[in-house]
Amino acid sequence: MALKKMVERLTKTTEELDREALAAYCDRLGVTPISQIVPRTPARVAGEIRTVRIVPRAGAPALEVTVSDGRGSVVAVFLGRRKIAGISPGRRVEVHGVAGRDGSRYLIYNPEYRLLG
Amino acid sequence: MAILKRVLVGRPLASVEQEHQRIPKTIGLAVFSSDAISSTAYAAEEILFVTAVGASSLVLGLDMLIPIAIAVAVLLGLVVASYRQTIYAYPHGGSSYVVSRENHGVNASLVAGASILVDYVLTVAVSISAGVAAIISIPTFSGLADHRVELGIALIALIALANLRGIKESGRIFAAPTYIYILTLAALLIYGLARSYFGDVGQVPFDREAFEGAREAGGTLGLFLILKGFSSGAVALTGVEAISDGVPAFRRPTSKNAATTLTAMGFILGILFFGTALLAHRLHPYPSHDETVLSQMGLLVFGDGPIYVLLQFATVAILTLAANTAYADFPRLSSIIARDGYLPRQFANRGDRLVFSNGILVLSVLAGGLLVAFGGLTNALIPLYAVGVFLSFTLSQSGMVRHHLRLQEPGWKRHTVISALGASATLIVLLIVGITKFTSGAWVPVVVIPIIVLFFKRVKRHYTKVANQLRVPVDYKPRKMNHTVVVLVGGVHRGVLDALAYARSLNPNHLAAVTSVSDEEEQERIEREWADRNIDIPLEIVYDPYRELTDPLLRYIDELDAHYENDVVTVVIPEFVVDHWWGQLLHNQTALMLKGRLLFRRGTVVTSVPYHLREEDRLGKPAASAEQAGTGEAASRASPDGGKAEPDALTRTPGEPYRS
Repeated sequence: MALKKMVERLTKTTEELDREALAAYCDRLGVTPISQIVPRTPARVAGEIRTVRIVPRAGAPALEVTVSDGRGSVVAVFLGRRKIAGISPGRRVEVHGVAGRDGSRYLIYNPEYRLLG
Repeated sequence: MAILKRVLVGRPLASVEQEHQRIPKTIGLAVFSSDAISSTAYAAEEILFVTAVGASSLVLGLDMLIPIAIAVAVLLGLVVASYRQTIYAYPHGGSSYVVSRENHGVNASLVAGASILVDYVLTVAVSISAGVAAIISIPTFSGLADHRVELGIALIALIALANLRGIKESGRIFAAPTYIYILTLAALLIYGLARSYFGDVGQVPFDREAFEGAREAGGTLGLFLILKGFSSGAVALTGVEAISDGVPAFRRPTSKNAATTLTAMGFILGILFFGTALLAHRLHPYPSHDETVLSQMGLLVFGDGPIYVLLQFATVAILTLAANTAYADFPRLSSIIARDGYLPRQFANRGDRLVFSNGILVLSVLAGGLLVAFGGLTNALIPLYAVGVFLSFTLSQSGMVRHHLRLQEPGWKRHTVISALGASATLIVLLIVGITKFTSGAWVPVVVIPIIVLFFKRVKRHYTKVANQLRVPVDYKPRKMNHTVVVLVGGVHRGVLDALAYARSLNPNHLAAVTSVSDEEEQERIEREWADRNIDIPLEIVYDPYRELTDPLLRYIDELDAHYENDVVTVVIPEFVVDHWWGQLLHNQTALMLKGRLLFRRGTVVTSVPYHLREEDRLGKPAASAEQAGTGEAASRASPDGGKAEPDALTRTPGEPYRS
């Protein structure tokens, strides 16, 4: 129903709307939804960068990037890097690699990545 | 604000300054009976308002006055006799609440407590409105008639203030107005009756305009109206229980002295009330909102000389004292109920002047509200009044019956009969009042008292629940906490660096700094600064597309919480503290909002690390201020609450680059 949709548009929070839009975008790319990642098998996922974690200079260099597709999130870990041009909060990326579990979240070490729009 | 309070309320008193002064019977009579005796100022008039107005006539009403007065006097005798038992049985103060709790159980005591509390509020409202009526009855002050509500509110404010300062209810100054009133009223009755019987004085000139009733003669006075009039007269009994509440204040032997005082009060009240009715019967005053019956008779008997004015002011004074009695009792009873867990704890706390300040304030607000709602008219408030009184009388007296039956002390049979008689009489009056006045106002307490009882139970249930949750099993050991500390970072500046040092000193399992960015430029700046400073704490950069700060940060903390299985997350917020309140207005309030949101999050501690800014430095070079406010100081001042400091370090300061 058109009316129902309109009411939904007006009553949903911005966050929900954004999440849906992101999910729809990722679906169009034809990648695996992050929530369906299977550990230790290659996966191609996409999403928006939520947070970027910079580890201190004293520690081993690594860049941890949380990518969310609106339904789940995965952490891409770039070992040996402190900074990757274009990898910054708010950017959309496609990430390809083998996911592993770390507690409640999934990690992909040194993934192949592609910057999107 | 603090200065205003000091001036109005006075310096705080230490707990040890509390003293208890025992009082002799003469003072006790004045102190505890002002409430009861003051009702002679309006009880006769209230009977007339019912029996002489409307369907009936003034003549019929005046004729009924004496029989009603006799009935009230008999009732008074029964109640006094019954309460003497209570005084001997409960030498530590036998308020209806206490007696019901010990003899009837919790529910009855709550009903009694609620009805007495309602009653105290009404005592204040009724006494004050009657006092105001006495003031505006004086011809000189008749112009104030339109301001009766304001006048009443002013009086309540005055009494509340006096009580907030703390006045000894046993103070000797209270004795004077009561005795002056008793004497002037007695003089009026004796002199008035004498003059009337010797034909020296006629009747009060009848003013058609001022008389509230329409007809001068004719009409009928049915049983319903007579009973209704009787219910109005029964308000004379309010306050009789005051002495039994205050037994411990009397000199030893406390019970004997208190009982003697009660009897004396019963006689004084009975004689004055009956005398007033008798005089009214002779002098034919008429009920009016413009001039009280007492004032009409005083003016007629004494003329408008100094004795009349003294009578009026003595009336105002004793009515004010009656209101003051409620101010002593309401807070005390509410504190007892609060200590039993049926009212919020705040009622049980003594304020800094050793008085139960919260009870005083609540009473003032409620009584003031009633006064406004009923236009300051005694007559409109009276129907609400008697229900609570007689409900508590009945519960207390029937409680005494059970007490006698249970203990069977010497002479218990006689005592049981007296108490039972008192209980049945008050129960009958309660029913009469409730039925005849239901539509004219008695429904209010009938509705309100159960609501208050429900409220009591809710409060108790809550406190019980809390107590159960806080109870510690014998073998309970708090387990080691998995602790994560998150420092909120707006930019890299002195305050943030201090906050990071503080966070590190907490030695948590996980430590991270978090910042939010809304574009790439910001991200690069903060990254660069972080790297330049060589800070050895990982920095999380959270994407915040709508620059709202709170939601992305909360989401981030949620994720963190889920990942580390934290027991507790401490969110450290660096804050600027400015010297002046107006300086705080210049700072952004976003972090304050964040604090508000975090307050309700489970397992979250919010810590504010203050960074003190000095005025001259802030104007010139904001970042490099206050050499003396070192890391150690900042950390030691940090409190889980954050104090009054204004958070700012998270957000942009005007005239400063975003990441300073």
